[in-house]
Amino acid sequence: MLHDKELSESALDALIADERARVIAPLTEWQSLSVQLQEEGLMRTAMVPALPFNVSSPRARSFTSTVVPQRRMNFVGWGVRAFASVLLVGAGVFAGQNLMPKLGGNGGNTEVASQADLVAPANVIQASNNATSASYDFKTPEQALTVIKRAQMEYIMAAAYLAAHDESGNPVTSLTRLQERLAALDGVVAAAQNAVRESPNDPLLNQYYLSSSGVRQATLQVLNRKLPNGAQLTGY
Amino acid sequence: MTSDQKIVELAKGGDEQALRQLWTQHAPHIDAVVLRLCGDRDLASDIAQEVWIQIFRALPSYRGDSQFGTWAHRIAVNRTLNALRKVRRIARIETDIEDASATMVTDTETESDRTFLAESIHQAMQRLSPGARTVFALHDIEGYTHEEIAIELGITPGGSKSQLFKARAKLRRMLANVSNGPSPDLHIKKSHVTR
Repeated sequence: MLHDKELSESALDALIADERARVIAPLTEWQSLSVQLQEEGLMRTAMVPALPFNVSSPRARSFTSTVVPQRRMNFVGWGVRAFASVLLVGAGVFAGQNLMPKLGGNGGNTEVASQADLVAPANVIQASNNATSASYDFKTPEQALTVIKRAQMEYIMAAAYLAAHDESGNPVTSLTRLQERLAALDGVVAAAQNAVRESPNDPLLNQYYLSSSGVRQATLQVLNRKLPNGAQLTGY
Repeated sequence: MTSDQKIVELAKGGDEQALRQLWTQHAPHIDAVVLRLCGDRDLASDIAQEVWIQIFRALPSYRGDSQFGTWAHRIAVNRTLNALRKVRRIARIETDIEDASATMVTDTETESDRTFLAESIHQAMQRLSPGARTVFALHDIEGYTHEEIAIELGITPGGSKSQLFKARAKLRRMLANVSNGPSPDLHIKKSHVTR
């Protein structure tokens, strides 16, 4: 602890460097921002919320339309993706840590697999259909990434279906559950943010940071709708 | 096309998810810039909303010559300074109308300013005059040159240098009790800010 009359120039520069790197919780809220964006015609509201990975293959669209009634997606999609992403972030980071050295080691392609790769090879599909099997016959890192994307999509859709058919409807329970999700997501987002800062060029970590941040905001939205009028939550 | 560029292209088309992803990804940094320049959280919240609306309005003009964060940062600084000018102009007009003897906010240091000791650079910056805070934030934190600051603020580069000198001297005095280690209320991370 310094007790001089003033801080040294170098110490001030160090504080400035820290301040430069500082980020804060957003001062804005997406809810109010989106209202203004819609009013100005800058944003169109999707009928079905887009997935964290922008999947547009016919197979994905078919899966979405048959499993989850479209009219329910606007509510259940956000809330349930929060739950799904909490579990998937852990699996995704683990998979990314094991995949990234292979992707980057031989000057390989570090871009996330294109949408054309989303239909996994037959042997991979067969392997992924076995819920208990831990040995997948991947030929390339891109195949593994394809399976991750597909698994995430299917998990979210299945969770959304289950949530859509949840008849419990206990407002206290669902409020408590949402709060618990928010608490978990605060930790997930912070962890994902730290991971991205350590490896800013890692596409998988960036994807999970974006998706976890997005579902955290979505959970906040859903939670705030359940709070009494005038009450507002910005974090757990 | 990188995934970031894809998101921007979707956002240009009004895709809600894409717009939201851009905001989620960049708001922590953009809003921090707004807060630094404003010094007041409530004012910064209002201005940040307008900043983001302006960023999204200007999306069609984004050509990808620089990173999106860098481009958005420029808009944030410009828009915040414009808003602050309006606020100060209104404040000066209201002060003139209310009381002819009212003291206007100046860069004159008060006795409490001279003895105030801050616990963090963020706290100390709030005690700077608006002009000094702006110059200090733009130059030392955001990396603007004095020539660029002069254009933004309508002053001379010499005036910018003078303001910076005074700001740093005052900060060093206010932060006399701060240790060389990072302050606990800061999120200390590797800097990935680019301009």
